[in-house]
Amino acid sequence: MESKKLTLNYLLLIFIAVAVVVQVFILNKHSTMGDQLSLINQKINGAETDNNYMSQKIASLSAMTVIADEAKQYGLTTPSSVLSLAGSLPLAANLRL
Amino acid sequence: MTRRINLIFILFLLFFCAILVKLFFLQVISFEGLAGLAEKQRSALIPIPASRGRIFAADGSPLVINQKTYGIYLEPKNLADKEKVIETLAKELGIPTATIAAKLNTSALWLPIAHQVDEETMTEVKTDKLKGVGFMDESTRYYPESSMAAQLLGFVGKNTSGESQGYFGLEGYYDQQLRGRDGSILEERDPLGNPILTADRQTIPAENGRDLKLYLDKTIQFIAEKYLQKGIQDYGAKGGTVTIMDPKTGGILAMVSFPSYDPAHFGKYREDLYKNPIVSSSYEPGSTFKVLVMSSAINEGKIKSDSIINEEGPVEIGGYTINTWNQKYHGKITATQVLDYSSNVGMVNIEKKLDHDTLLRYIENFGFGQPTGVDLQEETSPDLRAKNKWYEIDYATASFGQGIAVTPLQMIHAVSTIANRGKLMEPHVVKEIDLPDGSTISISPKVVRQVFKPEVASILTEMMVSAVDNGETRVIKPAGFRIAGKTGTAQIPIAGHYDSQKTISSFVGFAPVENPAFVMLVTLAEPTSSPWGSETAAPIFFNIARDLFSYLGISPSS
Repeated sequence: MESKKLTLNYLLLIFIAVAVVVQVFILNKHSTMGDQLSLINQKINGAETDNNYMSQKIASLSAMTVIADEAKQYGLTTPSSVLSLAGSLPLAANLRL
Repeated sequence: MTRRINLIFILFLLFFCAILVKLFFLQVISFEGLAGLAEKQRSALIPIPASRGRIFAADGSPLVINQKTYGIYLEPKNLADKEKVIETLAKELGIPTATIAAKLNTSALWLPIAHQVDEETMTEVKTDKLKGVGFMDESTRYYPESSMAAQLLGFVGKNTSGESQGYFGLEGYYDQQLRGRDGSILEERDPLGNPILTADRQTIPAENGRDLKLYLDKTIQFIAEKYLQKGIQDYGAKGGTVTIMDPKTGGILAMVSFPSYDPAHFGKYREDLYKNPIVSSSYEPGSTFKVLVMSSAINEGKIKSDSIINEEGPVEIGGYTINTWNQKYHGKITATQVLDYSSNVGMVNIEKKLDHDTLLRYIENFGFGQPTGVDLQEETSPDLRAKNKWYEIDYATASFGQGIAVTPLQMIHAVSTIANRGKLMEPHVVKEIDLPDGSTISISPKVVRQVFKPEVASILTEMMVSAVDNGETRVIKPAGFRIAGKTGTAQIPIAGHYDSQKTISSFVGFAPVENPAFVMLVTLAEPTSSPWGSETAAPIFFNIARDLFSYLGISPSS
């Protein structure tokens, strides 16, 4: 009974020692991974800058003055008279069938 | 021997005491200072700047967004080759060498050299790898539509503390909503400057500014800007404005004024251009005001549209003579014809039927003498004269829109009641405020008051249609459409008298009358080709209206 208790104590001590070593190892590894976080942050910043640039470009290309100039280049002109396709109701709609 | 041992013991004791004293000094007396120094060495506070809210048109297209730019600074103590740095920066940033050299003649540790530098220039400077030159992230406003609606949007400048602040227009009015709140990260760093992941890290997230979504339709704005610019050139005017409003909601669909400025380079323009004249400048509305006095008289039951009004000759009031604008008199005419002929004499006679107190009450009910409540920073309202300072002649001239000052927005605001069955709506530029968490605050249309009965609005609408169809503008109105409108030509008061050569011509109206989609006011300042509203402001109004019918899919009614 006494020797069993002693073995359990040894096992517990070994477990604690291993856990401490693992903790030190992990903490040590994590402590030196800051450069990777910096790298990820740099990539995020880069992506944000690209995204910002693209949305700026899209907004510029869809500006009214740009569209109007393009339309002019393609020969589109303002209609001189308004043609309405939604005038009076068609005859069939008035039959009240 | 014992003596030597004692001496050494005493010496050791003294050293020990000295170490104790030093330790006491370091650990107790200097504790706070040294702890702070240590904290400073290993901790870094990284600011997270909040992104300023964007501004979008009604269709969701951006009017104002943020552009990433950079600030460039120098650390004089770290400069390896001072001359080379000055020369390179001067060349790449376009700053005179003397300016940079002068800045370096101080004992400062940190010197900002340039702000709002674009990505390309920053990369160029960075590739030079100059020691002692640093970069920081900045943000600046970008306007995809260039100077469109500049005076409505306002601009972002720096306040006395060097912080970004919105000025004028929406940027000024919604500055607190747009600016957001900066955040920060407090973290420990290793000697290489990389964060230590296992150490404490405190993050206060930045709260980005709120986005604004406007009633403004950029196509309508573009159309209005195009025709106003052309009109100012064609009629040799000093400037002009166009305001287009949705009468049912009070939403501003377009707001244009010229001369204007480029908000991206506001510093290059005169300061007096920053204020939006539609909400901050006053003018005498002239004949456009007649429709409001007419609606008051009809609502009070004093006249009907077919009531006979005397226009047999000039009217004498308080020693002054009031004539018609063209010195023509038609004898007995109907109230509708008073608007058709734009008769000053007819209006004076109508005002006589409406007692003075009632006229003043209606003027106030239409919103004159007080700000409209529009969400633009620089809105002002010309004061109405105190009641005891109104003389007979003042009531008479007010009936045809002279001697009373209003802002263009107050004028369109009041006329929109006719297009909205007598209801006065609070004008608004912003329709929605979008929060960073994805939720939205909708700004509901607000009815200020019912100024007159809905049936009076219908009568006035028909009278205004008649004024367009039978008045001076009948030959230029778009065929097939029923448009309600009224011209206005007001002389400009200068040093206590009116200058007959200088006028503000205007046209106010709405269409289609069956279900008004827009109410529009055009004003032109001092047109030189003709002083009359019917020959200057009205053609601009109809040109814009013609394009709006096509754009909004409004069919001709006949």
